[in-house]
Amino acid sequence: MLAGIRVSLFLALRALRRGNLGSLLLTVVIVGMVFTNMIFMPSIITGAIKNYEQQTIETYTSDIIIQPKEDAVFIDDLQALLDKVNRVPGVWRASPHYAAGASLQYRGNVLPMAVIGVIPRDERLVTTVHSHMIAGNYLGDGDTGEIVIGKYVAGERDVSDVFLPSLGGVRVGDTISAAYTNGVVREYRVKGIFQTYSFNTDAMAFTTWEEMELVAGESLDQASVVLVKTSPGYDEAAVKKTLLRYGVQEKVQTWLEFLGTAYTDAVESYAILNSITTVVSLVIAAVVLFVVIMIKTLNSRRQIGILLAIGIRRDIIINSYLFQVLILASLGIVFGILVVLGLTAYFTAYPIEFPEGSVSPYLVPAEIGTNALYLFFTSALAGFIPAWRIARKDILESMRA
Amino acid sequence: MIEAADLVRTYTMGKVQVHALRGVSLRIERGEFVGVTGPSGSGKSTLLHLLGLLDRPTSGAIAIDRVDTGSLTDEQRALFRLTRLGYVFQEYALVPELTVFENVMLPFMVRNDPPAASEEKVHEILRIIGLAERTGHLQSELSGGEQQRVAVARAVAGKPSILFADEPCANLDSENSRIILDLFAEINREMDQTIVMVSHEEWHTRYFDRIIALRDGKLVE
Repeated sequence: MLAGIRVSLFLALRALRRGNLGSLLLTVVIVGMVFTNMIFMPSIITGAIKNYEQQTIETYTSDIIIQPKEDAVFIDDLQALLDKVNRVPGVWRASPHYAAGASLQYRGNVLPMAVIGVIPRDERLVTTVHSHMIAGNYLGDGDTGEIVIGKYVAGERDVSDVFLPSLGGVRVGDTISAAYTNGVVREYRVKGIFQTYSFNTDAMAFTTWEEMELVAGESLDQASVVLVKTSPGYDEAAVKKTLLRYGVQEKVQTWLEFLGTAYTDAVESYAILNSITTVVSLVIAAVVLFVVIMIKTLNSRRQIGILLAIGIRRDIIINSYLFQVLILASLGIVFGILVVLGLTAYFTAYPIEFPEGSVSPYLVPAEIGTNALYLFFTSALAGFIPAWRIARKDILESMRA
Repeated sequence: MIEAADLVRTYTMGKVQVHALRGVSLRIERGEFVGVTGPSGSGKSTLLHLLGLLDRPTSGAIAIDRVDTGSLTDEQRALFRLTRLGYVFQEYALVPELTVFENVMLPFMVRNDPPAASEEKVHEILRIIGLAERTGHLQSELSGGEQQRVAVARAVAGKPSILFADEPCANLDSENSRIILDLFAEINREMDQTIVMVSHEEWHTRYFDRIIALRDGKLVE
């Protein structure tokens, strides 16, 4: 048995080494490109998903989001809640948001939306909106009469670039008015404009907690939501459990729970797309290797017949073709991995620009291994079938081919 | 030693039955150089294929070295061919990616014979057939006659009990045919090698110890 495998391997290596070099290289390149397709395209999709998740966590939801109890509009007794949350192990910082409905107006453009009151020193520890300013500056503690707005809120003066309702091209230093639902009207100087590439965040406007208290006409001990940033190395699900154990009565969700089933369904849809890419790639690889080995065996029918005649076992002949295809697949996979690593390095240095931001490939080593195994076994099957079909034929029939 | 009794081989081609052999009995002794002759379609190659265990008779029995080959499974027949029989065909059928040395060495590798002793045997046979200087050459670098000599070397290197040759000179010119036949004669004489060779060339008969003549699937007295 072992001697047979050794002979099969010997024949396979000699066939590859002394066979047609061009054909060998072409096959390796095709398998390599197929493997690249299996890994690289899904890595871009995964990269886009990870990018979206990162943007959402960093600028919109943070790691954990605390919302009012069911049937409540606001979180009450805010200061007590913040004191409690900030003491919980694994919590880096909690940042309250107070949302007030308003109509923003600028040069006749009216945009109904919520203006969010934040405490800038807390917000800086919890989200990264402050680091995404494309014009002007972020809010400072105690600022009043000032607002920072997302790029979609600011809009463009050139209407051909507008695809969402906006204020029609607000710039830093411009004054906009906000008519709140409680009847208060405030004039704001636009202190900064941010662009996070998160669609939700870039359609928001922030002002300070002090400004929001002026709007409310009272000291605010309420919040619409509280965003909670976990400390490095802490898992948000574990911290959520700790928050509940510490007696937080409000609705506590991780960012993933907050995004809900619509998001997980979307991610699963992308996973299906990735699977389709993988299956199509495997079929292409299988067909290529099947054709390569089929041609080889068809051209060698008489030789196979005579090898059988002189007593070489069928399994030795079949395995020699099997080894050939496995070696070709292995070389193709190695080539594909090198191409993928090269492309990943390039697109990490120079990310692909999408409307949602810069996307880099996201490689998962386990997926590379799994896909390599898929390709390896598919190749084995694709090589085995034609070799088996030819080698199982009657000796004399093969010799007369 | 080969003993064949009442060999019949009938092929079915569509709705037509072809009687390739119609009851052939024969005996070939150890060390004989036997020629199988006859016109086209007389059943020469069919007889060789049956005796060489490449095909099974429709009826009849074949014993080689007192082994009833009819009872052997396909795997046992393959092993029997590998260890006890040698073949040379019209087509040289060398493995094109192997060198002369590797082609002759191949059956030894499959048998898992000790490498050092096998290599010595391969060198020895290549010296006898006059290709000692061409051991590293590929098939594409050899003439037709040289390729057939390598095929002969591959067939006899393992010292088979019987060497079967199916028109081994059919693709060779007369000069190379003579070289191959001289080689067979030498192997038969020096190594006491039993050889059964199919031929339709009249001048080949002078090399044979005995001739088995066939016509219409039957032995001709």
